[in-house]
Amino acid sequence: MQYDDKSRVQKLKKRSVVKPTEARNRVELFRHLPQYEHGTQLPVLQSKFFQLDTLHPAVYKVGLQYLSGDICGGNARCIAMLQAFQEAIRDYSTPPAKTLSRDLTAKISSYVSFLIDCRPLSVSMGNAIRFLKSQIAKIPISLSESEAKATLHSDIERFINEKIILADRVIVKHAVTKIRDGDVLLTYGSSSAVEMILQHAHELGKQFRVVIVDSRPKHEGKLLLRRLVRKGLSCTYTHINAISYIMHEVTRVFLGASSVLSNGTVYSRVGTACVAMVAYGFHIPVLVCCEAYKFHERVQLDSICSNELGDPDSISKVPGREDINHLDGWDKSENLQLLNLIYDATPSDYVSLIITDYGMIPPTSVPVIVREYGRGQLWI
Amino acid sequence: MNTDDSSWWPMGDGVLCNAASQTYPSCNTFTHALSFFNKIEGSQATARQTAELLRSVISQQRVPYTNQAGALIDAVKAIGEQLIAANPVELAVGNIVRRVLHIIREEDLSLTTAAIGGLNLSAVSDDENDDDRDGDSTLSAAAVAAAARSTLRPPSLQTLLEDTPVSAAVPQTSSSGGDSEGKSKFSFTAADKSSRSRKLKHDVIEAVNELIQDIVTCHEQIAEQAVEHIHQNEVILTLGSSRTVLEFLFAAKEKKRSFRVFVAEGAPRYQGHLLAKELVARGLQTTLITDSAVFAMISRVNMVIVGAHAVMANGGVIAPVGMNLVALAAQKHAVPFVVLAGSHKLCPLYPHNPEVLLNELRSPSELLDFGEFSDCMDFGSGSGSPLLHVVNPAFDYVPPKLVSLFITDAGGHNPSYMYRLIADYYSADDLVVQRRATAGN
Repeated sequence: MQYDDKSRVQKLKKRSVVKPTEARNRVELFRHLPQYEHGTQLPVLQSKFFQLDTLHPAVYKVGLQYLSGDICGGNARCIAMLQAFQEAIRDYSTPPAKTLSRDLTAKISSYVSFLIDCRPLSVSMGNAIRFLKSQIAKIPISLSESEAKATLHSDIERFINEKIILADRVIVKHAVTKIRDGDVLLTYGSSSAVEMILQHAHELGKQFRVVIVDSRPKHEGKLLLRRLVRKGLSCTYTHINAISYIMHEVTRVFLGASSVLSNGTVYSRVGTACVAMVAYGFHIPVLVCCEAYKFHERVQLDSICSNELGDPDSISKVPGREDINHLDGWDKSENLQLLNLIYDATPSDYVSLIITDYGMIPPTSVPVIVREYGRGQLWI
Repeated sequence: MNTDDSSWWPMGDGVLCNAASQTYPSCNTFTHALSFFNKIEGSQATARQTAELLRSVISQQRVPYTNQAGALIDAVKAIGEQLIAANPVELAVGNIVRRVLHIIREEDLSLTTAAIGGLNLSAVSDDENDDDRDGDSTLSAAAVAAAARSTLRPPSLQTLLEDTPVSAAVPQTSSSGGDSEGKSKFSFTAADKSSRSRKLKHDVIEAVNELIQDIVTCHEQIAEQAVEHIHQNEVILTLGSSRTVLEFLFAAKEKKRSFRVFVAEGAPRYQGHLLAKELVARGLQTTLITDSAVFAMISRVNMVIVGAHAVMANGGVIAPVGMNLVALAAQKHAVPFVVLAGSHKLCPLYPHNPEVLLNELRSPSELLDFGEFSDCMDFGSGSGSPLLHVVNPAFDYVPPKLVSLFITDAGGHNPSYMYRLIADYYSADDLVVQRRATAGN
């Protein structure tokens, strides 16, 4: 979707439910990406809750949760979306003159465009939607409606179980072999896979320390910090600027990923590339933990061609520090833009190893997995 | 130290006192300010205050007739030691102390060589003390050597050779020991001595005034070079806030260069917000980014321009935290990394383990709210030591191989050239600022 093409943007606006307002002070470099005013959409959507009959309430609820940021993280968003689709399919009934597969596919597409309006899709969600549509297309005409719905329900259940939950267990099993006693492990932000690895290794009785690196504006590391300290792990907390200082003590770096692309680039939370670069400079191994369903055949060289832009107001304000208020009223001056990138692309040379449910692979093997275990066979 | 009226010695808590019990209070206030309240912020202000303080020390210091330079140096070293100890992280203080010491040595040397040249009637000298010396008789080479020894440099072949046409032979009874205290065989008149001592202090104070002037105008001199480096349609990246960088960019804007600036906010002090606001007020297109987005954006940047806290002797840079990240990203994308630094930031020390020894760890409350995490920082739980540590360093070290160019008020230089500038500004004897142990005299 090219957001710098005016005619397409107009068409999209007519169809959309959310009707976002475009941000003022758009950053020129990112004209091809959507930049909307945050904060205005949520109350509008909440007021419309009972008026929309085209949308299933479960999907609506998930969309609101994405918009407000309650659900965050590739796995969590994917699971929430799939469970909402399960409910929608359960309540679905085929209209008289239509076939189930075509009509249901159209309905799912409309749900998806609503979710995109709330928040652009992550790669994990995109792959899951492709899976679902391919399963719907495979339903034989002879099947009755209730049987078809039951099949789809169990397919989604299987997808969540095999591709996400069991995959995480396999990743944890592989990864704890890489943790030795006396290690100092560094992680950035909050990744569900890395958190599970650290907790499991601690349960196994390994002696290690954790360094949590955090950054603005989301401060996701604080949540991870709280959960780990509660479990009894000994943690050091710092911010991303201090990484050159702390990297002297670190022995391994564990990172999560939103996706791994076909040229080995790791597409992950912004700041991951900085961490990987400094670790590479200090000759410290960087291990990326990513489930195989998040792999994508797309390729990307830098972080600008494809990204997501967040709310600029969260940069101008620093929570807890009222003295930092130099940028109040920033949108009134046309010379100032605030850029809140969500993702960035880490080049493959910084990554030593990718731990997936298919095993531990180097970044160069990602296109092999995408192709061999690709569309047809990936969704067994 | 001599126990005459002009000597000072320390009393207990850092107060200097002389025989007449006149204390030197303003040094104490300054030291307190440096160490406890950090009221003086910024290397430029600190450097200027140090220079002005040392100037008043010199002007109030009474010098003996002989070895005035030594007395001045001792006095400056005494105060300098305390200033440096009060805030070792602020390297500008030590730099200025060493600069002043070097100035004293240089002025003394130039006066003495001029004096020797004036004694030699055939030598051409534009020293105004020539008039006093017209009536002096010829001097022996030994006397010349003694004169050279009375300065703080060993006699050189040149000073000895200069005198050969005048004197015939070297006398046997040379001024043995070269003791510059009393055994001078010169036929200086008393008027010469006092005028020479006045001249030394006067010269030193003039030179210190020039130094202060240089410190104050360093921004303008650096900013003058802006047009050579910024052309049209550039994209410049900077981190945090530096007044030097601000003036530099303004100067380029004045000369009608069009460019855009990406400012990284520089957590946890967030000075980038300040810089962005000031740049926007002057009409520059500015985009504020978070520090984590530096690697993402640097592929679209033409040049990185940053300020420094201090520049070390090997060309390494002590800079606000986060700078090493920017330098590494710039190297990866082959973007020039330009450091702007006034000459008062140039430090003659070599950085050994700079991340630890030249760093300052600030309060964790800037990163984590104590109230929120107080249960984790509890010493009473479990094994008695808290599970949570928070690290918040203030400075970062950038090694010289990552820096493309230094722009100082003396022009643009490679990092490998910085050691030469140090030889210009500092003397090798002053690297350790400590008073000589008094030998009971």
